[in-house]
This record gives sequence, structure tokens and C-alpha cells, in this order.
Amino acid sequence: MPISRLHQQSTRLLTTTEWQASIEEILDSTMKLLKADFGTIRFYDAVTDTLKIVAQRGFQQEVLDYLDSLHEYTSVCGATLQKRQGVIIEDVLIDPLFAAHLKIAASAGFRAMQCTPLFSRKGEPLGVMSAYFLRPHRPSASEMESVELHARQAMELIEHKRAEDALRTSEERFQRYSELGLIGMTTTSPAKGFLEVNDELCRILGYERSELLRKTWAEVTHPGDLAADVAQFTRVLNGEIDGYTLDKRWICKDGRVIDSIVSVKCQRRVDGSVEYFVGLVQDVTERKRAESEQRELAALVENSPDFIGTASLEGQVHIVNPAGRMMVGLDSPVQATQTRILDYLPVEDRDTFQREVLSLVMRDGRWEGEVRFRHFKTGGAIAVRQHIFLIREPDTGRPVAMATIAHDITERDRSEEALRAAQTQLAHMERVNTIAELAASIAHEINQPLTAVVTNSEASLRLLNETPPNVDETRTAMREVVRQGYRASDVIVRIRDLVRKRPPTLVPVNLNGLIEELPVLTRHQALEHGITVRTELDADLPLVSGDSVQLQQVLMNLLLNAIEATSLRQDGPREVLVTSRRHGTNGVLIAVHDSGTGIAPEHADQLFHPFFTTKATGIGMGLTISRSIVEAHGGRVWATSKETLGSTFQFTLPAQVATVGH
Amino acid sequence: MEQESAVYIVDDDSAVRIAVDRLIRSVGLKVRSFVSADEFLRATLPPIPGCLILDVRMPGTSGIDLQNELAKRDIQLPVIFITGHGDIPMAVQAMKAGAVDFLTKPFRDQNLLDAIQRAIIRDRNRRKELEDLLELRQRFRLLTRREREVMQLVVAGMLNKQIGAELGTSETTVKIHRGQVMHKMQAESVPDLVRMTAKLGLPGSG
Repeated sequence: MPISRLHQQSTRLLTTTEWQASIEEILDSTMKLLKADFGTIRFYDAVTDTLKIVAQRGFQQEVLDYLDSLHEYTSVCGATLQKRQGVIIEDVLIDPLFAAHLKIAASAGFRAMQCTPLFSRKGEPLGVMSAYFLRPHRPSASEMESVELHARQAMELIEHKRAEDALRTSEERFQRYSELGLIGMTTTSPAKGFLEVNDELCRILGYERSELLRKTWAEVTHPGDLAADVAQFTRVLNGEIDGYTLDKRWICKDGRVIDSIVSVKCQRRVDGSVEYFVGLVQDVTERKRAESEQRELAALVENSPDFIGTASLEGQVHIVNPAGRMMVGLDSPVQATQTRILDYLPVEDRDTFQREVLSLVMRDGRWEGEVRFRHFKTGGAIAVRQHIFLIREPDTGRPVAMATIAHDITERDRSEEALRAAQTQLAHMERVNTIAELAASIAHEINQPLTAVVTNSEASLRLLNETPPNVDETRTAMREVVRQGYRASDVIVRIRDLVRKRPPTLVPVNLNGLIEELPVLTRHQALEHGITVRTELDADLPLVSGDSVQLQQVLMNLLLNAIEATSLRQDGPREVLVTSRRHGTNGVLIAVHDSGTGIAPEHADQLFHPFFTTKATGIGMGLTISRSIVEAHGGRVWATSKETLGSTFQFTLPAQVATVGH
Repeated sequence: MEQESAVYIVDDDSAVRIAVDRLIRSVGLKVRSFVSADEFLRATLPPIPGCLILDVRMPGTSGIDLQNELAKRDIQLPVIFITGHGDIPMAVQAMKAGAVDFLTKPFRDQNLLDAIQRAIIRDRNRRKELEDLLELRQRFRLLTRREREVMQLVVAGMLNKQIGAELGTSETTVKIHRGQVMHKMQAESVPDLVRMTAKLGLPGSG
């Protein structure tokens, strides 16, 4: 019985030849059953939507060609597929269904036909089996039942063949991909074990093939991603889906974590159960790393407190980071793209920048220096330290763009200024403090004997008022008064000695050099009051012999006083002039001219007295100390004043050859 | 000054110390001078009214330090500070710690003498009050328990009859106790007795 044999055959893999024989056997068997004169079995090709003849009996080639070319649904057999119902045409000349095809019937020479559609188990059209008769004929019902049986065999055979073809195709494809090695590939069992793995998957996971084949994919899946994979996998096992794609991480043999995109398809058995899975694994670790690197780099640029920007070699700006936009007053990234490099500079700086900076960048590939940026809204200048460099193509080294990093140094300049001011202030404070402490100490030293003098004297007055006057005790008290008077005087002498006993360190001193330092040392005070310090120096000034620190102190003192005096003036010139010149035959004269309000006549003779001051915060020691220094150097200091035209403080010092006397 | 008293001077500067010593002696007060705070602390002081003239600025233990040390030892001698440079914060600190005066050198003699007099009067009063209290405590100690109960009720303003009822005894007995209380406490009247209990800090006296 051919059918039973076919049935056996259908359960095993058939070679193409075997299969062709089997399908023809079915056709022959059917025709014999129906006593048909011709017969065909045609496959439905869903891609071209046509029926292709795979087996035939009794037709001429030209008829076969015609039949092959027929569009499915326009043919009678096509209609059976569409309607899912067999057709019997007893006489083609009578049946209107066949009216359109009479010509073929005539050329092939048949008068009657029968057609049975073939469907897969799932109901997909597989093809048709047809029998043709030379005479008008109608197969009996029992014959048709047998035909149905044959048709079912044909269906199974076709379906089997299709599955096999599909498998072969996919296996071939798999093999091809697998050999390419671009992607990790595997077949896995429903128990999750690896059945086959390609070299790439071994490489990705870092295992030997033999090691991997002893494992399940669950074992090498990152625990965090296992549940998601298993959930999809289970759906496949349950027949809900045939495959899935997901991002998942693997743990390599050496413990590294690999990011991948995994695509899984299942191969099912006839009963729908999963035979095996085909899995594709693409290693995206590198891509993810590159992506995250990209993100980190972007974050660096975004969050940098410095101005970071890029531009084309022609100067068209591409990117300016938020800090940069903030610095120059640009509102949006888009606005930045509408600017050019030179727009960031004050107009007057642009030529120089173009000429001296951009050309160097082009020549050397980079440039670094301090320039000024321009605020787009206020137009204000912003001092920056700028680095500019070319961005090159990695392979060719050809420059493709320019980039810059610029750091705002306004604050730095400002804090340096503040530091200098603080230092000057501190030096001043120290001087004042030392003098204040000295003064307090002197006060105490003198106050003690003074107290004794006063108290003894008052006691004496009381003793003399007694009756009779206590003369003895008064005498003792008065002796004490004398003693304490001398003690106070001794204190004064000691202080004077103290000053005298500090001889200046005598070295040759170039006063012009000291004067030239003055504008720097007093820059803060001068700036604060908007006063210019000018010097007019005699280039042939002889050296003096002296202590440069002390002499500098005198100069500073006179200059600070002059600045302060000038600052009090509301109108007129705001200038202090320091001059040096020869004096007499053997000396130098230094003068500090202020443009203050001059010295009140009633103050003129007190200027150099200790504790005399006209300043709210002064202690009146500056000129006193200055005078003692100048005099210790054998010089003389005095002041002249012209009302409303300012005053001049000047001092003379003997030139070096002269002896410095005490 | 009428009663015996003593002025102590602590100043490291002998000229000032001797001068102040002389000035105070010239008005007839007893004076004892000390070169340093430590020397003063080692000395035994007689239990008579007095005051301390203290230089603020001294090497070693300063005047302020000594003032703190005296407070620690519960020596309540009034202090007059003398200083070469009277800075305000130091004066405030000294006055808060109980100094009676703060004089800047050189000072007028009368200012110092007035300050001394105020200090001694203050010390005398303090001592008198302390003595009175000790005397009162001594008298109170002589009372029996029953007499103390009766005293408390008398001070509370109750009549003998009421007191008797309160204590569950006869009016006559109360009268006898009351007599004893007035006698032992040396009280001349009930208001006098009330004042005494107030000084002693006894309950029911307010």
C-alpha cells in the first residue's frame, strides 16, 4: 500500500529525489483511483503568488507553461485555494466556472476536471492536486473520499518538505553567519544548554568551546538580566512567541561584564514543542563604553567652569559650553552657532588677534596666552587666559576644526590686587601697632613715677596740715618725690638712648633706586584716590651712605602723607611729584610735592613734634620718626607750604664721601 | 575713722606702693603693703573691716587674677583697682567681679580716700550682718523643739489660745513657752521676733 509507505516516509527526512518520487506516486495513485487521463500537483508560492507544477501526468509542455504562468486566483484551481473547497467540473463546455479557460481545455484536450486544495495544519495554502478527464465525467462520492485521503498525504509530504527547506535555508544561513564570525551564534536546548557555539561567541564570553558546551546560557548570564531573559524564553516554550530580542549582560570567564544584544528564534517540532533555539549575540560592550565615554566627555564640557568652544577653521563657531555662554552673555547654544570667533573679542583687539594669534594656531597647531573677551550684551571686556588648538582627523592629521579653553582671570587679577593692598595695609598696621605698643609702654613707664610724685605730694600736703605739722614724714615724702621725678626723667633718657643706640647700617644707597620703587609700593593708595605719582630724578645723583630700609621708610612716609593730603582736595590736580637733585657742593635733596591744601600756619612749627597729627586716625609719629632717621644720617628735613597750592616736604642727605655724624 | 580697720595694698611698684601707703597713713588708717598677689595670699588677715587696693598690671599673678582667687576662697574683701591704663573692658570685668572702684593712675588723693572709706563701710556692714546672723543662730540653737514650734506660730500671728488648740495643749503652757522664746531669743517684741526669723530664713516668717 503506497499510502502507508508514504506515511512512513513522511516521518523521516527525505532526500529530494525520494520526495519527488513520493509526490508523483501520490499523483499516480490518485489518477488511478479516479481513472483520470491527466493530473497535476502544484505548489503555492506565496512570494510570487503563483502555483508551480511539481508533478504532472499527460500534459504537453506548452500547456504546462500556460498553467504555470496562471495567476492563482484567476485559475479554477486558484479559486479552490481561495474558497478552501474542492471543485468538480463535469464538462468544461457547460460549466460557467471554466468559461475563461476553454482554450486551454481545448489545447490540452480535456472535458472534465476535479481539483482539491491542499492546506497545512495551520491552514496556510500549500497547493492543489488536480485530475483531468478526456470525457465529461463526475467522480463518485466514495472516490472523492479516497482522493481526500491522498490529498492529506500530499499535504503532509509538502509541509514536511517545506519545513525541511526552511530548516536547510536557515541552517545554511546560520552556517554562513557563523563562519563570518561577526556575531556570536549558538543553538541552545530547551533546557538552556549550549548545543553549538561559534568562535565569536567563545571569543565574546572568553571560554573554550568545550567549556561553553558544558554550560547553560543561564549560568553565564549576568544575574541582573537573567529574569528578563527567562521570562521571554518561557513564553517561547509556551508557544506564545517564536523568538525575542533583548539587551543583556554576560559574565565572562575572567569576570568581565559584557553588554550584548541577543536575538533568539526557536525551531519547533511538528507537535509545536521547541526543538532547539538559535541565538545571535552581538557584543556591544565597546559601543556602550564609547557611548558612555562620549557622555562623560560631554558632561565634562557641559560642567566645566571654563569657557570651552569649537569652531570651524574658517572661524564659524560650532559649540560653546554653558560656562562659556554665561561668561560672554550668549543665551543659547543656537545663538552661539550664529557667531564667529572674532565676535568674541573687543573690536580694537580683532586685527591683532587675527594676525598674531590665529595665524600662530594655524602654523603651530596651538596657542596659549592672555587676551580679552567681549561680553555680547554689555560689551565689557573679560580678561581670560586662553588656549587654542587645532582638532585633527585621527588618520591623516589634517586639521578639521579649532577648539578653545579660556579661563576667566578677572577674579585672579582682582585677588592679586587685593592681596597687594592687604600687604601694604598690613605693613602699615604693623608699623602703627609697634609704635602704639611702644607708646603704651612709655606711658606706663612714666605714669608709675608720676603717680608716686602726685601721691607723695598730696600726702605731704595732708601731713603739713596736721597740728603740729608732721615735718619728718613730709621730708621723707618729698625726698621720694625728687627720686621719682628723676626716675621719670631716666625713662625719657633711656628711650632717647634706645633711639640713638640704633645706628643705621651704612651702605652706599642709590636714592633714585628707592624712589623708583615708590610708585609700586604705594600703587594701591594712589589708585584708591585716583592720584598719579610722578618722579623727576637727577640721573647724576651721588650715592648716599645710609640704611636703605630706614631711608625707604622716610620716603614712604612722606609719600603716603602726600597722597593722603592730595586726596583731601576736591578739585585741582591730583598729582604727587617726587624729585631728586644735587644739593650744595656735597649733598642730595629729595622733595615730595603734594597738591593738597597746604599746611595751616598754626601747625607749621608742630609738624615734626611727636604725637602731633591732623589726621583722624594718625598717631603723630611718622614725621617724628622720619626726622630722627634723617638726622641720624646727618641730614635735615623740613616742610614748606603755599596756601592752596600744596606743600613740599624735603630732606637733604650728605653724599657718600661725607662722614655720617651722630 | 571711729573703729579699727585695715587697708591692704598690693602693687609691685615700690614707689607707688610706698606713696599710697603714706597717703593712707596720713589720714590715720592702718595699712599693710604687699609686693605681690602671692605674698598677700600667704598673709593672715585680722578679722576686722578693711579693703584691698590692687594694681591691675603686675608680673605673675595680675590684679584681676587675685580678685578671682579671693572669690574662690570666699574672702569677701572689697577691692579698689588702680591702673596705669584704664581700659573699659577690664574695668567692666573687675566691677562685675565685685570691685568697688576702679581708679586710673595718677589719681586724686581724695578720690582714693573716698573709695577706701566706702569700701570699709561696706565691709564693716557685711561683717556686722554676718556676726548678727551667727548670734541669732546661737540663740535659736538654745530653743527646745516645743519652743521652736510655738515661736513659728507666734510669728505666724496666732493668739496663745489658738496656738494651744493647734498644739493640743493649754493656753497657760503656751504662755510659758512663749515667755521662754522671747527671753532666749532676746526679742523685745513680736515684730522683733519676726525680723529675727526672717534673718534666720525660717519658714512662716514671710
